[in-house]
Amino acid sequence: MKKIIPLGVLAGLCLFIQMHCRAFLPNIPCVCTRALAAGGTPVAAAAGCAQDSTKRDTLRLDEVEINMGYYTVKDRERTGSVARVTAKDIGKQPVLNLMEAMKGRMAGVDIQQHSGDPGGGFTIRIRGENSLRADANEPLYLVDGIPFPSTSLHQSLNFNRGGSNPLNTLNPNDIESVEVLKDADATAIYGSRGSNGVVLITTKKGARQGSDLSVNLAQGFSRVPRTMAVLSSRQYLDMRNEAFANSGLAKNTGNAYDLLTWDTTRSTDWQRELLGETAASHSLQASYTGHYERMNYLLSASHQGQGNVYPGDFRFRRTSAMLNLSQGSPSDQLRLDVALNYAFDRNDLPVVNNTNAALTLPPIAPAPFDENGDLVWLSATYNNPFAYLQTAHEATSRTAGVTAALSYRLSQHLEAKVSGGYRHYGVDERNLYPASANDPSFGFLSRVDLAAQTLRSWLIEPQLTWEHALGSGMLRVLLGGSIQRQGTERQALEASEFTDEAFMDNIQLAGVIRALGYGHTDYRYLAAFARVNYTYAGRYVLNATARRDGSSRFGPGKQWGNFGAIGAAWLFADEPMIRQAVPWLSTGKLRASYGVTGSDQIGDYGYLTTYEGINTNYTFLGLNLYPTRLANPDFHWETNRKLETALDLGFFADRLRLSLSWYRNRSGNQLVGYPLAAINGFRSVQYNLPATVENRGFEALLDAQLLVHSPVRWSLSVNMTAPTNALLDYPGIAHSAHSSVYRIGSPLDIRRRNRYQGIDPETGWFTFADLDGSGTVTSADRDWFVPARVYYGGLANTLAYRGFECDVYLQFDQRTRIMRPTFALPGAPSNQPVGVLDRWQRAGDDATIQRFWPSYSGAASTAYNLYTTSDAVLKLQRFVRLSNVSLAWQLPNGAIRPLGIKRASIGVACQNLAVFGRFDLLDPESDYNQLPPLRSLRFSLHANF
Amino acid sequence: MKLPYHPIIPMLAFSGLLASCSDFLTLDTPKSEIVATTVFGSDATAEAAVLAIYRELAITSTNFAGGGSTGSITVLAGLSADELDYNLEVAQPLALYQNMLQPDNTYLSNCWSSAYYVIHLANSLLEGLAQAPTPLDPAFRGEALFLRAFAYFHLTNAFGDVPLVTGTDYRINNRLPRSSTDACYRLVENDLLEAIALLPDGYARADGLRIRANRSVAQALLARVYLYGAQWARAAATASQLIDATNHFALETDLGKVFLKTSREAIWQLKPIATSMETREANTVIPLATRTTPPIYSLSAGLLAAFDPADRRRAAWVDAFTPRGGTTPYLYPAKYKVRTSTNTPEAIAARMEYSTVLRLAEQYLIRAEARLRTGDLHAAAEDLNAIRVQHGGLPPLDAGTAEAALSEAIMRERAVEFFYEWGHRWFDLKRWGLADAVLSTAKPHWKTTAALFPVPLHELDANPNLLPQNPGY
Repeated sequence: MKKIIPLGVLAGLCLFIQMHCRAFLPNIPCVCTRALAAGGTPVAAAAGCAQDSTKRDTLRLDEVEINMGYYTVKDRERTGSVARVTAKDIGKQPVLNLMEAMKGRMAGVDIQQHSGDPGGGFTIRIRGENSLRADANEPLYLVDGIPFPSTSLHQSLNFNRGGSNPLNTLNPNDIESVEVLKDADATAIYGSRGSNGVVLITTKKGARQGSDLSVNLAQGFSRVPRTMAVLSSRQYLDMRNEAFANSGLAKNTGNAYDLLTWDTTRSTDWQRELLGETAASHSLQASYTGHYERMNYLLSASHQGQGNVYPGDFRFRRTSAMLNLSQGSPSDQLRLDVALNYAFDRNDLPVVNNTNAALTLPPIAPAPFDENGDLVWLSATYNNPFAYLQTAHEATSRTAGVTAALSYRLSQHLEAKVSGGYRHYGVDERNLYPASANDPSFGFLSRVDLAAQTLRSWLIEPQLTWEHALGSGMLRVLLGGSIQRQGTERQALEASEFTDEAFMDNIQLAGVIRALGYGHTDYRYLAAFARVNYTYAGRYVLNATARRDGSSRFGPGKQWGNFGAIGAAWLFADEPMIRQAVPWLSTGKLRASYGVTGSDQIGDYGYLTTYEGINTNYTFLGLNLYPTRLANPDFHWETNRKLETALDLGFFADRLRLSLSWYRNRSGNQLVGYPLAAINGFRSVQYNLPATVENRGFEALLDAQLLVHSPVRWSLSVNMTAPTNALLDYPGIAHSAHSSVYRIGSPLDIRRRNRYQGIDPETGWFTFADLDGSGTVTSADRDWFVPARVYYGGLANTLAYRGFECDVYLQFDQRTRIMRPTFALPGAPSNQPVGVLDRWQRAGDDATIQRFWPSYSGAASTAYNLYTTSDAVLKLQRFVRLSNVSLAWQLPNGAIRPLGIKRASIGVACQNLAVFGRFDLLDPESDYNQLPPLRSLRFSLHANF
Repeated sequence: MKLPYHPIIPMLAFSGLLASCSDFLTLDTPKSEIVATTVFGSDATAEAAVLAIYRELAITSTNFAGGGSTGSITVLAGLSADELDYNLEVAQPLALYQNMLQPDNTYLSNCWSSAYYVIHLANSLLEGLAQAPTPLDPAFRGEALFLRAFAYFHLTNAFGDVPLVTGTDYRINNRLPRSSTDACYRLVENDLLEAIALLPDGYARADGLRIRANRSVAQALLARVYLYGAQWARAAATASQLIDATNHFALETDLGKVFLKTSREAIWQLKPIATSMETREANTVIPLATRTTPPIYSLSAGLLAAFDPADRRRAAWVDAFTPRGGTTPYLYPAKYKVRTSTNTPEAIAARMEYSTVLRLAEQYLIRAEARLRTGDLHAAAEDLNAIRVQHGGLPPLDAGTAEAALSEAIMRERAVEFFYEWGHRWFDLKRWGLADAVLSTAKPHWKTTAALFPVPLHELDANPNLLPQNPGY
């Protein structure tokens, strides 16, 4: 009874927030964001589940067990390079996607967020790009040991939104830890799939003792963090009129439809109209952990939702449930671990990305709705930006997984284990395009696109481990095998010519149904692996791993490859001499590793010559068969040789820890879609390129428990990565398709660009260097442009005082990005950043933008087109993002114990609070036509019973 | 329980388990794809690979054969010559219209890439047929050769020297240099001659629709190839074979019937199978009634002036459009009248206008020009008059017309007969050597080097052996 009352109160509170938040929305967040935008100090920011915030242990290295996938090691004896994020850091952040919670927190792990849309895409690069093929740089994801797809199954979520993200189906709060394996020592045991790093995601497990009910409620609000300064109506009209005056062209309804046919007295802030809503989010989670005799279990369920900043009813929601069981026999000889999980998410988004329209629609553009509230159509001059309200994109994904591991201790030294799992992942998408979303004069009928894709994969991995003392050391041997199969199936249908929009839910009523596509792949994979580890006197560690892999992605005779690595560590601080001389040096470790990993990230069946069929209404006299690809039966593994050395230091009982590492990865035998001239029929062929790409870099990690025993506790953690990347070798590059894309000795993101030379003071046009002296500037005058050195990292601060805990997380980044100071030809009928006002007007002007011109023609267009592809738009960008601020308050025990609550806390957290640095766009990391990452404020309530 | 064991036993068992699994990696043939040996195992499946090429020509919105598409010869050549005016401000087509192309223009890239894709489909087909276990219908080879020649003919006329790809091995193709226009013409001629020998006569294979290559189709293109190559006697002889094939062809005197699928004048047409439209020609140029801005393309003043005021074609094949709220009428090509169509199988089957690629009127004018050049003025005037009278509704030219005047008349006749069709005007001006004389007055930015399009930039980047670029770019 004691527990039921507070639970009821919580549930009631939650219900109240749910019911009333919509009414409050327009007010609460606006006040908040306005204060923030004005640069005022935020009220507070906050924490979600501060589970173990009461007491911050100074964990010594030797107590932390690091998950290496097939085995675990004590952090102290670790020879490989691993970055780690735990539940504690993930839980503090009000985010829907695990990637966002990991961003900036791990050295060597570069995560870029492409869009602020819920469910939007990320890219993750672990120690740089190893492959010349852009989509072959994904790491291997393993959730509780089972491979998880690294790319989304969504077929149409893109809509210019930077893709989707498969990790969306995971609830970040179910995650106990994420370990990212980086060097050869850690990844070679994953053989052909370890080249780009391995992301091990481990879910939470049941408690070994006691029982605990944990309830977490949160309510949040998100908005677009800032608006871009674009031209006002007056400025826009002045720009257009000046353009016409410059050109001497007569205005007509074709070239000046905005000035002649639109109401020029209008003034609309399209950013507010199209991206100005407040997205509400909520999160309800409960988990119960306990044990029954020798069985520990954890049952967790959650429901989360997030709205959108677009007008209209668009939402993301996710429901997930998880059960983890582990059973041990009385002697602990036999052990069984089982994990079951199911997640469902649904993402409703507009079928268009309106961020571009919000920025480029002229402020005088016509009202989108007439007096009756109906959409206005002016077909030739105005794409009504609200037409999307009639359309819908609905993506539903379901994932179910089961993993089990049975281990049996054969003797004191030998253990046998079989683990396995099965995962089903399905995505259904539906895009609705009703007739009413189009100009009625087009006479379009309603259409629905349907797509379904499923992925099924299973895996069985038998393993043997043997541990034996040898001399004054310990020898550990692991032998294992892996059998995997993964199948995907994809179907897409188009149902069109509905006589009425109301029929669109039932495709049986479509006038025409046609199959847009069908795809089927089968991927099989076989491996044997081994690890031998010898630790001598607790100070000298040698670790060797090896793997032999077979993959069905390669043709006969090319399927098998061998991989392996060797790593060593010397814990010099434990040498008696040093221990005596520098007692305050608690940890001192030198480690190094070298090895070979591979990559088979290339499509299935690439070695076969095949045809594929098109059998729809739009065929020519029945079935039509097309060649699928240019086949190459001879391609094989890509190999990546990784070298790393590192120094780990701990001072004053590890209260201050410093870790420095240097790595060098050389990826050769590049398995790329080799770009071909169109005269080949296809623009690329799968091919092993005789090129070597090198990624090199420094990673530094500093962890400090600055104040431990005083009432105020303060800890600080900094990570920083400075990577470089270069194409080392490429025989025959001059005569290859890459001759104008890459240069030996330069980074892969080098570009050939025309060299901008300012504005001609006489003519007012952008000018560029005529490098070949031909008298005209063309693509032949492009010169190499080497982007600036990249570095990125983060700084985390945790301050605690009595029951209060405050976290501040800063992320910093420097790299060269494309930042166009214009959206379109200056003077053309498109809105522009206010920066275009610094334009050339008369002879002798020193300006940054060329003279206004009303349309893409002649010299104006030629100069502008060169400008957009010149080095003028590449800017070195540095910024610091205050990416998370959270504040949590642990309620005093005296107040909650009588209610039967063990611990309770309330918190407030703000994600993406501010960005410091010079950038002209909505966000320094996203393209100008993408929705920037949102600023979110979340209030949360957490209780343990 | 204590099991008897030695560590080596489970380890051995383990290795044995893995060794037995090697067959596991051998995949079945994929379900969603068909291996080449199956495709070329029977006439029915091989024919599906043949038909795909026609589909490609008819459906892709960027195809060089796509009527009004953003890669079509009709649009690229129409804008480049003195035929079409471009009325909007989009950079890429505007550059074409102003003869100020850059090598990265996407219209160019569309045209080039789609033509080479068709060539690749034809080459794959030729290789597949050659390797077929049992001999297949020889007409398939004929069709592949014709389609390849068709693509090369347009490529070389648009771009000049082009690489001659005749197989599918990318290791060879991606290093090919450009071959001379002469070499390209030789390939086209040889392909067409072999195709004529292999192809059947008549249109029975598509239920009477004139949508698949047959002997006449290959002959019609060959007659044009001979004309362009100044082989007058052969041009006249080949055109005669078609003009004399009265069992298949006759000039349509009703101008509303020339571009219908029932046209007796048509030699080869593309079946309109694209979404929501009949022909792309119509869909591109016919403006919506509610449009407030000028139509994308309209006919140039120069072309309109070439019409005799009494010419029936001026009334039948040209329409006027005044943007809503405007006063200036624009005249646009209206050879095809139906802008949109629904997509039900019945509606697609009921589509009446077919995009016409080769038609009998051209054969008359080919023979007229060939006869003129060989001094047979009387017969030349006769052929010219066939079109003048039956299509133009004009009085015949005097049989005694002088050579210069007759030449002038044939040139003008070709302009008013073939406008907005397959770039005839552009190619004619170039082969007559009149491009500079005519276009330097009609087009303000004209320069001699604009007569050849530049090779798309991505091609030079991907295969440096294609350098040098055409002069002027």
